Amino acid sequence: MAPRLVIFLALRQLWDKKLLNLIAALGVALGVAALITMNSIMQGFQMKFKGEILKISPHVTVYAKELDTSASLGAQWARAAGAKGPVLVTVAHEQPNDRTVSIKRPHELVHALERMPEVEAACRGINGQAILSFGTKNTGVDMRGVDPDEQNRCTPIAGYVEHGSWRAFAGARDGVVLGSGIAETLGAKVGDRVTLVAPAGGAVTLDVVGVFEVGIPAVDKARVYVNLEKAQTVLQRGSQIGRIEVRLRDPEASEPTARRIEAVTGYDTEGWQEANANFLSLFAMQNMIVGIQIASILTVGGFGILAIQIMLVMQRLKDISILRSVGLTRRDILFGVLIQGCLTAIVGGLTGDLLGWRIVKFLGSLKVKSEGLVKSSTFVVYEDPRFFVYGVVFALVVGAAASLVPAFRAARVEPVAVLRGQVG
Amino acid sequence: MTTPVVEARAVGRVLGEEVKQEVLKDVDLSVAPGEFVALTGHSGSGKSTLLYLLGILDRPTKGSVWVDGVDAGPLDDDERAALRNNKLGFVFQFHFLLGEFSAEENVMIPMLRRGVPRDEASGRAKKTLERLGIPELAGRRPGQMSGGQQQRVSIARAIANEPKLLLADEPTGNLDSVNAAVVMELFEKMSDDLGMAMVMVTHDNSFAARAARRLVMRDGRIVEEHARGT
Repeated sequence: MAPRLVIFLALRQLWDKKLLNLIAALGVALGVAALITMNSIMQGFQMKFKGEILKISPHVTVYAKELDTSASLGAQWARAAGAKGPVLVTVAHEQPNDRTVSIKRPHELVHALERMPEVEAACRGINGQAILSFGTKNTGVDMRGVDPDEQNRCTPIAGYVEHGSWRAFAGARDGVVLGSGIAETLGAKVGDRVTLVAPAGGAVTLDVVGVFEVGIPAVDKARVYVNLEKAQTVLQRGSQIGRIEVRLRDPEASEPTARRIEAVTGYDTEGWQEANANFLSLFAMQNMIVGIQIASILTVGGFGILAIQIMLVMQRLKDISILRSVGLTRRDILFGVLIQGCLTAIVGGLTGDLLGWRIVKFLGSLKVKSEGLVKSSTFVVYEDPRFFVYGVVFALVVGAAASLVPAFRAARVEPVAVLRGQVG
Repeated sequence: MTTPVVEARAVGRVLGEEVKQEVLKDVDLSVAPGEFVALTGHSGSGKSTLLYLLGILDRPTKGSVWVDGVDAGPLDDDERAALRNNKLGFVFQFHFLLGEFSAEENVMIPMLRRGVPRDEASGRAKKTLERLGIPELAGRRPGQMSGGQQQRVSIARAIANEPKLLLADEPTGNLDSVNAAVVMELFEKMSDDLGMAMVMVTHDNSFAARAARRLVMRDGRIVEEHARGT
């Protein structure tokens, strides 16, 4: 092959038909712009969601084990069948109050967990459903009984308290901190007195000492924090601890760490990824669907290149024959067309980068009030330079694939057939 | 005995896929270095087909074509392309220049394919255009030239690589008589100056008469052969 000659010829031919090639490039540009825009929006949203989740959720939660379930009857019978001598099989109906729902010696467990190198902090808590009343209004809440100082190390909630303060909560045994949505529903504000009632029958009167807003409507509209002892009282659980929340140094390592804690302590654990598996798998699905859409748009762009290159090859049969007669090989001709297709695609890719960048900037500046999974006042976009590189790389792949057909068509041209047709 | 620049040995060519037609039948032809051979005959007599076979643009159905002592039959496409590039030059009736390139660039392409550096190719292209009396056309594209000018540029392209054999398919067929005469003179001059052999297909008997040898074809065979002046 004569690479420099082939590139020279290809560039000139490309430039000579710049309008047509630009149209083909635009098809690819739209695909690349879509790739960048969609990825920026989705990654932006997903990362914001994960960020919010990580800010407010424990990385790993240790639960009191739900009833150390005996092996099923079937399994017991099976074991019995293989055993020698007498066998005891327990046949009993499980009652909910058989369940051991508290963590034994929680202080020691917290200290033990905090000595693990992966763990930054651990804290005790007890959760339960309750009804919060203010005046004539009631609302169901997700009550979190916590030690205020301990809790703030596990899930730094203090920073999200918008009215009142977490410090005031730490200093007041009868204090309650409401999610902003609950405060709004009840019309309660800092200084108001509210009543908390649990299905188990306990009731306490509390002072609103803070209102927090973390930006996740599901949390802001449901959660209240009360002192550990108050929660235990309301739930009538004595001094039991229902769960221990753990904050890790590396949140991404939640799953292996959770399994390790489970193995060591014998309690059930759940990492934040597992706890939010429904959302995370939704995101994975969403990414796949968007990926298919982008691939479709890029493929359509590729067909643009294919159509125009095929047309140009048919127009240039005479030129191809001349080039072959003066000594260019089939491979020279093949690469000439491939180069044109790839360059068209690269121009399309770079244009798409520019277009995508502008669109992302524009979307980022839009004021949008959204209150779905995550509360946000702007379009959350994430600009990753990798998207722009991917854009050009995908464009190049599409361009190369699309120009294969025209390139082989050009390389197959038999000069004599063309010359004979022309010369007669 | 010197090696012929091109030699056809019992060459036959069948064209057509459904209706087979024997366009060439057992043609033998040998062209000596520097020799000027004219191929004449009616349309469909097989002269263009023979020319394309001699230029190894086409493969014979039977027989063999030798270029400068090399049998072109066993060569693959790339080797045949290289052989064309090094040894052969083509001029066609419809002057076939590449429209996107200037005259100078058109002339440079065969040299660039051969690996001649750009500057040198450019210099040689300019010199060749000068030699053909058209240095002012160097920067022009084919669209800005007359038919006669284009044909002269295509001659420049054909001889730029100093081939051993120039193949011309009715090179004056599309030109008026004045331009045709100019082009014809150029061919003779180049053939004499550079010592290249030439095979020219032509309908014009007055031009054919100027060849060292004039071959008349009919129905795929060479039926008459005349030396100059006979």
